[in-house]
Amino acid sequence: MDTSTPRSTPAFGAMAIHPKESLVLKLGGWLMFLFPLVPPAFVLVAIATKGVFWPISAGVVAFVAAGVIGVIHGGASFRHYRVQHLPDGLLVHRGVFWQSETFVPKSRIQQTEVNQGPLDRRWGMAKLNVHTAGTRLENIKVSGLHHGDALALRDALLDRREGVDGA
Amino acid sequence: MALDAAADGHHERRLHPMSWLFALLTQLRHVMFPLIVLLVFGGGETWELYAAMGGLGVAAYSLVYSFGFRYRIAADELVIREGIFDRTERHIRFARIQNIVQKQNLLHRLFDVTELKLESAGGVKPEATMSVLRRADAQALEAILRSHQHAGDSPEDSQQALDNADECLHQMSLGEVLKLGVISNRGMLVVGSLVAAWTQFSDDHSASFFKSMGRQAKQLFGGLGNDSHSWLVASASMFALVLSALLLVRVFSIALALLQFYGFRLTRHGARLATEAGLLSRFQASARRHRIQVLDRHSTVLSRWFNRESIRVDVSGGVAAVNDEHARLKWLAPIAPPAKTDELVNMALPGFDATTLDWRPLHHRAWIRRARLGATFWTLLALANAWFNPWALTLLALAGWSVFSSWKWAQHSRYAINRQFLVWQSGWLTRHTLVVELDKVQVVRLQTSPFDRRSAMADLFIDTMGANPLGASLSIPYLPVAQARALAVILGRHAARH
Repeated sequence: MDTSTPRSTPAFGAMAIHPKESLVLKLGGWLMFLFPLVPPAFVLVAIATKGVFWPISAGVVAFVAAGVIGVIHGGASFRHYRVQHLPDGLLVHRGVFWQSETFVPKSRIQQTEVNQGPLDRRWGMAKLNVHTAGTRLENIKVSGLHHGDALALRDALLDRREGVDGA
Repeated sequence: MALDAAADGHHERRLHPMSWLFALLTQLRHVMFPLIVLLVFGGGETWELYAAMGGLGVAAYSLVYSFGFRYRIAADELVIREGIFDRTERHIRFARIQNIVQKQNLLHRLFDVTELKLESAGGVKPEATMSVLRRADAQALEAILRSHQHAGDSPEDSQQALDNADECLHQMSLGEVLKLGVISNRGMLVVGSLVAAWTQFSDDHSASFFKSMGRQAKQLFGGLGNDSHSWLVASASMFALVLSALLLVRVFSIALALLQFYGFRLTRHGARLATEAGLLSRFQASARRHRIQVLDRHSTVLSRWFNRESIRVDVSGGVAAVNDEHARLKWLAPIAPPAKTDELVNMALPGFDATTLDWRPLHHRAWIRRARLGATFWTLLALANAWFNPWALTLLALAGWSVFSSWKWAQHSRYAINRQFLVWQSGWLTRHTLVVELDKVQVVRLQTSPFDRRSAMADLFIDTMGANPLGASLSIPYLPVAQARALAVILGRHAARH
């Protein structure tokens, strides 16, 4: 099913986030917690006990625990994730514990690009990369947009005024 | 005359005839190590042989390449033809060239040639690297670039260009360079790498480095000391060791300062600022004043004793050059008396007046937030160890120090904003004053941690072009959240309009 909306200039205000982004963030959360949880659980139990049963069970428990924590964390980060298209730029809210609000002025945007992975194409989802001439925040990634919205936003963000070079 | 010849647009010019030598040496530098290993330890691993052969192949290529390099100066652009298999012709408009860097090491100076790099506002590679040009040719080319750029300057700058050909704004005498060596801690790097090299190549295990140092120190300073006084001898020799290490750091710092900053000169030519420095290798860098993104004026305890400060600037340019010390204009003053730095700041940022700023403090609980981590860590460590050894309670002094230094830090930290500039002053022992023109702001980010939210604080991070990843960033922590938000809105709106 193609969930992309018709391509038009997006209205100012919050952009709709694709529902599948929630799944992506939850899976990402699981992967994020796998690494710090599973190997230590396995190794610590292997040191404390003999045989392979307990270390493997501990690994499995840690695997499931990482899943539960990751899904909760991913869900929370989906709820906190907000993209706002403002008349003079783009405002992105992110983060669960460490939260950030990043504002990219329209006049500072050097280049924008829309990316789609295989799953993104299937779901009609897309990522928008916004490049500025900055140093540490030179690439702002906005994921989980509807494909049509991403294209429209890309066009809207490119400032076409004469003599504006963002530098 | 070289200038006339260079200005004659119809002639294609080549690099200096000895360019192949410099290309060869640059390439050889990469293969030198395996080559030496091969020659010294003869017939070692086969990969070393392959590496050396590969390196020689590259060297041969670059040799032919340097013969194929041509450049031509047209009306408003520089045309470069290069390449052997892939021939490219590049047209670089003079107006686009932002930074000009000249490098001369001893060998360059021997042949009276120089390496010239031209950089535009973005991109990973410099627009053009010309290695090597006759020095007169390079000067002529730079003069042409400068004169063409005045076309795009503001009337005021063009007037300045006419008034004074080359105005010296700041220069450092030998005494000042030595003073800089004494003040700076650059020697720390050398001593650090010496220690690293020792642990790599000595027979002892690296873990016993300090033990062996202690032993040697005892031999050096304590002689064969009486057994009953061995504790005294050990501590005295340890003291002597630390003292000599500190002295060594100073000596290296002075040597490095001499190498890097000997004969430092800051000059202005119209809208361009240029610096020149170096004892053996000389570096010249120039950039337009408007390309200064952030100005960082700083001082340490030691430098304040000598009544000196320094000014470093971030100049926008390509990505690759960010980590290269000599890649672009960086220092307006490695050190200078405060009166001089005031003058330089006013020159670099016209319209900036530090006396009329409306300073605002951080959140009143900022010092508590800053002290918390260190104080908690040392207190826990002290209490945990006090169980075994009551002397561990002396660690509480460190916790006290964290609290005190954080309190002092917060007292000295403040910010100010007016219609043109944002200023962030921070630090107690080492003090930084960062000034950014509001027009140069690229991205604004407001960050909060759970601790921030509990005490209604926020961090404000401002991104600019050409920032040094290792330098002080323009990040203002522990602001009252309402003020941080207001600042973010002001900065964002200003950036969006300009």
